[in-house]
Amino acid sequence: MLILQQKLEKGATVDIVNININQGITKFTEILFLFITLVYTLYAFLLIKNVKLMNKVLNTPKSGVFKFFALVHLVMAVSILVIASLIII
Amino acid sequence: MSLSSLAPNPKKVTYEGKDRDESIVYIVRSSIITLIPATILTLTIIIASFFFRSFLQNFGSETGILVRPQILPLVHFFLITLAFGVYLHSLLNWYFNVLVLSNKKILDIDFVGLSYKNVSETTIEHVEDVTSTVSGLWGLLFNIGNINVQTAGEQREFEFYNVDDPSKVRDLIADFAAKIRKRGNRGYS
Repeated sequence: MLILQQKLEKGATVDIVNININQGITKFTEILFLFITLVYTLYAFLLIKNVKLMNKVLNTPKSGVFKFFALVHLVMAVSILVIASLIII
Repeated sequence: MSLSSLAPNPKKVTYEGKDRDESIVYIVRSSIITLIPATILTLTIIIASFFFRSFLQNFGSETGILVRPQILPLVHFFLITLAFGVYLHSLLNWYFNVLVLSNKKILDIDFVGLSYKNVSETTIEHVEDVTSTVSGLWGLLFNIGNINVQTAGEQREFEFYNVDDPSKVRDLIADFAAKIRKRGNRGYS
């Protein structure tokens, strides 16, 4: 009876350790995802700047279209970053 | 948007430093075929995003999850945004990397990545030799090649890659330069 009780206690300890490790892995991947989205948002912002520069160097009737798409892209990236931040942090 | 490499007399197109009495006669772009790798990559990312979502959903159901279920749609949407970004970047590079031929100058506008811009120009009178090269399987299959414009100025040559029908473009630039030289300083009209 005493041996069984000891085994159960050991098992429980192992489970708690497993849960902690798993939670750690989940937290790590989520923070990694958040970091990647942050870097990507910076890239989207730089892309907007780049489109402005390109339009300045060569202005065409399609300039507005590219500006619009770059802005949509930035909005998408920022939305992901904000929602991910709200959920993860 | 013209799908051809060569856009004659483009309307409402200007470039930085364009003179008032200057008009753009041709704009030369790389072939639209050069966008195929980016298109394939974009489609691959979109398709992979569905598999990746399914993988994350099923991964670690016994050993522990990688991300919580509420993060999964965000990861999926992020991959779709990434695909969109990849394609937009390639499209911008294709559209804005051009060779501009005006009645006064020839300009080579290059954008590489997000931080590199290079604009070279010379007067049409300085154009000395125009060469076209078609090489490789893609070049032979789709009649795509490079144009090399040699000039007398300090900027010795302009290179432009993956142009549709390079022989036609070469001929056009050479004829145009010869025409301008013949007319002297009066320019093209």
